[in-house]
Amino acid sequence: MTSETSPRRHAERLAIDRSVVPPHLARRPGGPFALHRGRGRVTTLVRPVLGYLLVLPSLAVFVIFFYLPAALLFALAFYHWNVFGTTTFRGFGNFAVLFNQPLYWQSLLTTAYFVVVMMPLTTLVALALALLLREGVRQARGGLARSLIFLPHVTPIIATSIIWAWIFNPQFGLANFVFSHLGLPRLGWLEDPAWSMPAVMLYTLWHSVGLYTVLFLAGLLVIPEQVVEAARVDGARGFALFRRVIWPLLSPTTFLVLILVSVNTMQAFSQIFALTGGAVGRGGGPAYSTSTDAVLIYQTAFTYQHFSLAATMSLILFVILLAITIVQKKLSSRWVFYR
Amino acid sequence: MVMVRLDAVSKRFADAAAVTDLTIDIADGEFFTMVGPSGCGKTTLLRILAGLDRPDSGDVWFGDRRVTDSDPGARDVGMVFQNYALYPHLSVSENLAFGLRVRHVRRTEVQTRVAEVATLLDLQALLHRRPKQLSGGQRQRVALGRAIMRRPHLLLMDEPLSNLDAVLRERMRIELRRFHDRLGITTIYVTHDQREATSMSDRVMVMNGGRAEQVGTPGEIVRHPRTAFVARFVGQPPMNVWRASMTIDGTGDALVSDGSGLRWTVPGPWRRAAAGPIDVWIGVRPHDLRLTGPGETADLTATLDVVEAGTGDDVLLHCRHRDQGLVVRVATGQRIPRTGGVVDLTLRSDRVHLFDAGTGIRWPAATAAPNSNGAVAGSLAADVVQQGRRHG
Repeated sequence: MTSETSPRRHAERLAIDRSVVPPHLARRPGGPFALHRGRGRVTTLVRPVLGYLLVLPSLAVFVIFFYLPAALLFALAFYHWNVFGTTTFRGFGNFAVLFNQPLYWQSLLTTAYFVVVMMPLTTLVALALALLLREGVRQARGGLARSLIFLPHVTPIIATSIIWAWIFNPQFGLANFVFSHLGLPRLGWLEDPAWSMPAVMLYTLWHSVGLYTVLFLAGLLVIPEQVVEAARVDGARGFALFRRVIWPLLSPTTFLVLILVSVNTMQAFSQIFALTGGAVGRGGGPAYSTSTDAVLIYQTAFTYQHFSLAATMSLILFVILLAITIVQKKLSSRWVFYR
Repeated sequence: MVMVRLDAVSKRFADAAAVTDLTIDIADGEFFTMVGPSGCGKTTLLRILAGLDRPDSGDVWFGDRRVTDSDPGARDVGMVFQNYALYPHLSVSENLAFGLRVRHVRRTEVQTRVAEVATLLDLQALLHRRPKQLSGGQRQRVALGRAIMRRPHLLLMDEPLSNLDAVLRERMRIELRRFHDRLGITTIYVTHDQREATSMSDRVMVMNGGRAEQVGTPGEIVRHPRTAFVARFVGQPPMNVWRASMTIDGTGDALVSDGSGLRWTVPGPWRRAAAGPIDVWIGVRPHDLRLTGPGETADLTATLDVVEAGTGDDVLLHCRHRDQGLVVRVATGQRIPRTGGVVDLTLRSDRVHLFDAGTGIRWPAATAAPNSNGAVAGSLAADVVQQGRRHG
């Protein structure tokens, strides 16, 4: 009886056709189908190395084009780097030079002006568009409107900035054409120091609002329909419904949009440069009215060849951005609700 | 507390009719349940009552107030949603207070009402929690609390127990009914679970394909299903329903046979609807069939397929009779034949239901007088079979 139930007999009863089993498997101690339990040296050594090898290409790209320049920039901020001469350590010397420059302070103010206007403006316009588009989200027709609003975001900034420079042309531009037809005063736009920044803001809004609208749309779509319906049954409608239910549930999206807008506007360079004639040696004008931190950094480095000073400015910009993000993150716990 | 009237309400979605020409009166303070399979239109009807959907035609009346076009918030209804739909960003007490806050009720008044409802539903300890921190049963209680906070005169519930586990569901069923009896709010309840419907309600409306198949008390619906659909839908396990034919002879008596030896004479006089045999459905509930005792004549014979252990007191025999599945409920302890063998079965002839094969309506339709809600009067055509004798 015992031989009947032995593993060997069992295998025979299963009637495995031994001719189909490869010989090297058939010779295994545990039989042809035993799992290989050996912890071979080869496996334990190769596995981690192979892992690093596989990430190496992207790691290399990241190190060479991101971490290395960032580290270099950080170092450069504390040196005086002469492209053709000697490089000397200056400690906080660069910082001292910058803080004594009224132009630098003005550029920070201009940047602040840009950011402070763009954050609420972009958020509100994107949210309004998303609320308008929401109804059509599940319909085929809504797709066209969504695409049209998102389209500017995928256009090259330099190309569309040049077109917008034409739109803002005080004599022949579309903007003043529309303004005069509406009975509004014709403006100097990019040639008027008071209106150049609003013109840049208009362009930036046009170019970026599509992205934020799509983000808000996604945020609106994950709000459970029944929660909104429950609020309607409870008597909430119109603005009360928005303020008490939709807005709080949308807060994670709003937070994300605010962070993205603040970072993107603070770093904005291309559109300002292109709109204000950077291509013809100007940029940031007129009268430094659009000379944001980013524009000034570019000009310091590539117009005046003062790389270490530009590096110092970049470092300060980085610290400001980091600080703002941290503050926003800290404040967010009071008003952002994550489900 | 209000009388509710749906008057010839119809609603279509794209090409599908959700509700078709439905008229129903719901009494003040009634616990009324709409039950039916998915897609039968019961939730649509509830949403029309709440004002979340507008009917394509027809009217909704709350008492003498026509509310067809009123906003949900203006209808003074409370609603419990299937997934509770609590405001995830608000605490339990804020969830409860929401409806009053929106209406700018004074803060002290709101606090008093929250405390009241919290006591009623045993939520005091949870008031500061967020919905995410609650169990299913607790969420359910908060949803119910939110619905009654404003003391609405109509309470709507959309499958409120379907997300709970079986034990809790059982308990909440009793709780909900007790709750209704205490507050006296007219309650309209939607479920796909016929046991829930028949165990809680004053009246039940069985729906199918956007129409009311039957409206009546749970007892009426179980004992005198108006259509073959209701017969099959209500009762667990469902009623056995199979085809047979019936002829009315010269004296007006009806002769029912399913071609397998089951025959009755149903004494008339019946109006002769057609010269030839009339196709009907025979319906027999599993507990109205039993194993034929020794010395008795079998009504029908079947092959035993599977024996399913029931609740402990009984056993379900799944049999086949002329390519037709039959379920027989027998008490445990009886001698059960071998699986695969032939079983002899006897019917309780006073509990047999007959339905017209074409329309599915209880036969003969002519004697069934529908009441104002489309329900069939209690005595019904059941008399037909109650008087029936087995044809030896």
